Amino acid sequence: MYLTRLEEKMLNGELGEAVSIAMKAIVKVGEILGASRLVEITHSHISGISYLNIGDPGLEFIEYLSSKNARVRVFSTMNPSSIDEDKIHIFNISKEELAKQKKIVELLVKMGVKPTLTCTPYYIRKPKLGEHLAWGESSAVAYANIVFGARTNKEGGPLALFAAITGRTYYAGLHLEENRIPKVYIKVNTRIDNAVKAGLLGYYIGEVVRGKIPYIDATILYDESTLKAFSAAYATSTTTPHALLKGVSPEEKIYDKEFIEERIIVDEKELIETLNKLVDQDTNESRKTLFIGCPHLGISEIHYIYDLASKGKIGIEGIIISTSRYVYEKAKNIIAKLESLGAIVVKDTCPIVSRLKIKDYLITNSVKAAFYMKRLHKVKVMLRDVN
Amino acid sequence: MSINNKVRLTPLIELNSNYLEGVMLVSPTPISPLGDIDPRTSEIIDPQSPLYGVSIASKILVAPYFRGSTVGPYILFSLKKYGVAPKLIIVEQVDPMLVTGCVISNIPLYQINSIERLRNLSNKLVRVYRNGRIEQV
Repeated sequence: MYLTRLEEKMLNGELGEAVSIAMKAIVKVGEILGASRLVEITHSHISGISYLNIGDPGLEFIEYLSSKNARVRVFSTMNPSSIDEDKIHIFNISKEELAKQKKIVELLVKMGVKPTLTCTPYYIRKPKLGEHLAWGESSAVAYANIVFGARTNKEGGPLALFAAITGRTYYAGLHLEENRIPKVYIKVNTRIDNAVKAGLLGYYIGEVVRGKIPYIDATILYDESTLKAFSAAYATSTTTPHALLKGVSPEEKIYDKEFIEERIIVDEKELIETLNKLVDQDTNESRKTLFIGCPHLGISEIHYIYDLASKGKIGIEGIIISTSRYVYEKAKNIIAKLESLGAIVVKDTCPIVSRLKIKDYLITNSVKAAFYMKRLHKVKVMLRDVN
Repeated sequence: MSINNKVRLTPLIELNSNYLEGVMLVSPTPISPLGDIDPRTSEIIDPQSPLYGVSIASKILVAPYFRGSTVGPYILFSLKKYGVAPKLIIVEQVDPMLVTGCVISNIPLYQINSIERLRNLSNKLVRVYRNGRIEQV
C-alpha cells in the first residue's frame, strides 16, 4: 500500500504508540480489502460505546489505547451509551455497570471525542457531498451516503476509533466512485408514505441486493422520518449501506442504465411478507411499551410528535421517546410539554443499547428497533406508525 | 485421509502455523455477531439459524458473509478474550467489519467463491493449510 511520508511516520511510531497501533490496523484492514492507499477523513463517528454491548473486553480495548496516550486528529463524535444519567431509575443497570459505562465515555472524551452520545451525528455536523468520513453506526452511514452523498463505509467501532486517531481510513469500498454505481434497478409499485413502510422497504431491499448498490425508483413521501427509517432498516440487512434514491440522492446523476445487471420489482406483497417475518402476532395490549426514536429523533420530528399529541391524535402517556442531548437541549421547551403529557423522553441512549425498563411487548415505528429488540432483548415486537 | 483437491481457499489473514485442524461448522445464512452470537459462551443465539444453540468455539466457521451492527468487531474480540473464538473463519464475501474484527482479534480469515463447495465437510474434522489447501482428516 502506498503511504505518504507522514503516514509512514505514523506507522513506525514517530507520532506515538497509539497512532502506530491504529495505523497498523487500518493498513492491514485496507490491504485485505484491496486499498491502494489511505484517504483523509473530516469526521469520525465512533460506535461501540454501550458497556452492555462491548463488555469488559471492549472497555479494556479502549483503556489500552488510552494508556498509550491516544488523541483524535479529526472531528469525532460518539454513538449512544447505555444510560441517560438524568433518569437512572428507569434503567436496569448495576452500580458496577454504570461505573464502567462512565469510564468508557470518560476515556473517549479524554482522547478528544465529543460526548454526543447519538446515532444521528449528521445533526451535529452535516456531511458535504463527496466528503470522506469514517462512521460506525450503520443507520448514520446509510443516511450520509444516500441523503448527503458523503462517502463512508460501515466501519466497525474499533476501526472508526483508529480512523479518529490517525485522521485517515483505507481508500476502498464506498470511498471509490466506481463502487457507488448502482448495479440493481428497483421499481417499487406501492406508495411509501410512512416510517414503517419505508423501513420495511429498506429491510427488504437490503436482503435482496446482496451487497450490490441499488437505484430505487419509488414513490416515497420524502421527509426526515421516512428517510431515516429507510436508511436504518436498509443498513440492518445489507453489508453495503449505499443506494441512490430517485429524487433524493445528490449523486443521482451517476445512475446509468448501462451498468444495471439486475431488475427487481417490489410490490405490497413483499412488504407484507417482510413485516410478517419481523413481528410477532399475538398481543396482550396491557403489557405493551410504545417506543419512538430509532434513529434518535430530530427537532422537527419532536415537534411533529408534540403536534399530534397536543391535538389528541395520538395517546402519548407512557411512550418512550429517545433523542440526542443536542436535540434535547435545542427542543427543551417542547420536550417539557411532551413530558407533562406523560411521555418519557430519554437522551444519550435508546432501548436497544441499554436495559431500559420496558414491558415484554414493544410497539415501535422502527424496523431497525424491532429487529434488534427481538434478538437482543427477547421481547415481542409489533410495528405501527405514529399516526 | 481424503484430499479434496478441487477446493482451495484464498488466505486473507493467514494462519500463524503451517496448518490447523478443527470441526467445520457451515452456516448457510449470514451471521450478525451482535445478536446472533453470545460473546461469553460463543453459542449461536439466533432462533432462526439452523445452528441455533451450537457453540462456535474452536470451530472452523463458514458463512456466506457477515452483517449487522458495527459493534460486531467487539463481539469477535470478546470471543477471543473469553477463549471461545472460532479457530478460523471462511466466507464468500468480506466486509470492513468482519475484517476489522478478525484483525484486532487475531482470527485467521479465508475466502472461498462458494461455500456450497464446503457443504460435504460440514461437521467433519478438517485440516486447513496456511496456503488455503483443505482436507478431511
